[in-house]
Amino acid sequence: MSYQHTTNLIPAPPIQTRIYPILIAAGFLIVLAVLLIGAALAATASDVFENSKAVRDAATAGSSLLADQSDLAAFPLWVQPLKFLGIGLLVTGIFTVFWGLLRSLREARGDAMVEWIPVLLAQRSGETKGGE
Amino acid sequence: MTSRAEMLFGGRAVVTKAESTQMQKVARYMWVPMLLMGLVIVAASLGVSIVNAAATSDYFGLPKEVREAAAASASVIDDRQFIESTNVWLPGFQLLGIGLLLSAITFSLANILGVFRVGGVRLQQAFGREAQTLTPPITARLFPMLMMVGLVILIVNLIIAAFIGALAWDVYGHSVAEINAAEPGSSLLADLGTVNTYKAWLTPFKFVGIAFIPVGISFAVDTILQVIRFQGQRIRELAQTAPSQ
Repeated sequence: MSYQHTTNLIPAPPIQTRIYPILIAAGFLIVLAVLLIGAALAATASDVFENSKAVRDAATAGSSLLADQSDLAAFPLWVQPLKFLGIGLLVTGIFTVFWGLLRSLREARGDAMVEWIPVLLAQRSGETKGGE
Repeated sequence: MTSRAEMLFGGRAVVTKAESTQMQKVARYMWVPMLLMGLVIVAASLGVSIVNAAATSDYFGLPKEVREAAAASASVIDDRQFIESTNVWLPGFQLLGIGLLLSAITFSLANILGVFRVGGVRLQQAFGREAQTLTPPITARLFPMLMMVGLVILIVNLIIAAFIGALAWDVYGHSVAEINAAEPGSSLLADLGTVNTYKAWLTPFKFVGIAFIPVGISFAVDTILQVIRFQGQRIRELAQTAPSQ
């Protein structure tokens, strides 16, 4: 048996519940973007290592081989921190949803318990006395 | 039929028994093995890293002409093989350990959900009322799957890294002079290219696996948040309705 779930007696969901999906999505997209960059670098590495070391070392300025080798050396230097930015955003998303959880504990459940548990206990004690 | 709102945010179900869902029961027993496996893997990774550091120290303690000689001694080649192959598979192994630790957190959160469910039902029954629970919102359905996808990616990554590590072992079984002299079209140069190509995408690939798990954790926390809100609503409803209802 199921009923429509209403939330008319408690405050609206905290704003954190709307912020955290953005942080999580941004973090996840950054990590995916880093994977795409990694795939592109893999293709570059494949091109570079088709050449012998002698050819790689003799690559002249302006040649695509030297540019590829430069990319292989340079890209990881900023892609690595970018990846950690993505992970950082994911962790910030978790922190944000925990913050929302804390607010819900206080504002939705905590306040309800403080206000209404005494009423429920009084009702129950009335029932008990009535039954005696 | 389940409405869209019910699928996204959960509906209500009337229950008679104060018990966890099947997933929550599994989570109660799984968080400890996950935690222990994660810790063992992270500790084992530290051990291998120390051995790798010692091999690296030995290797680079030799002059360049000795390391790169065509007739390099077996111990020099062994060191290089160990260093290069370990550097391929060890990061994936370490991150699998971290992934298992994060999965232990996910299971703990599922366990907490079970405690909230049982506690909520028991409280309503203690007041002699109809026990209602929140049916699983979409976040509750997704978080175990996200954790599993993350772990599967980390395991697949480790398997691929093990193969590439074995290939690196073969490549660096040759002296540096031989590797440097490898001609285009030779299997040695092709294998060296494969090792470097795979390393380029395996590094971010394992982080995609890791990224799935925090997404799952955030969904698990969101589910707890929704359960807490439901319980706040339910307490007010119980107090505002007659005991016979």
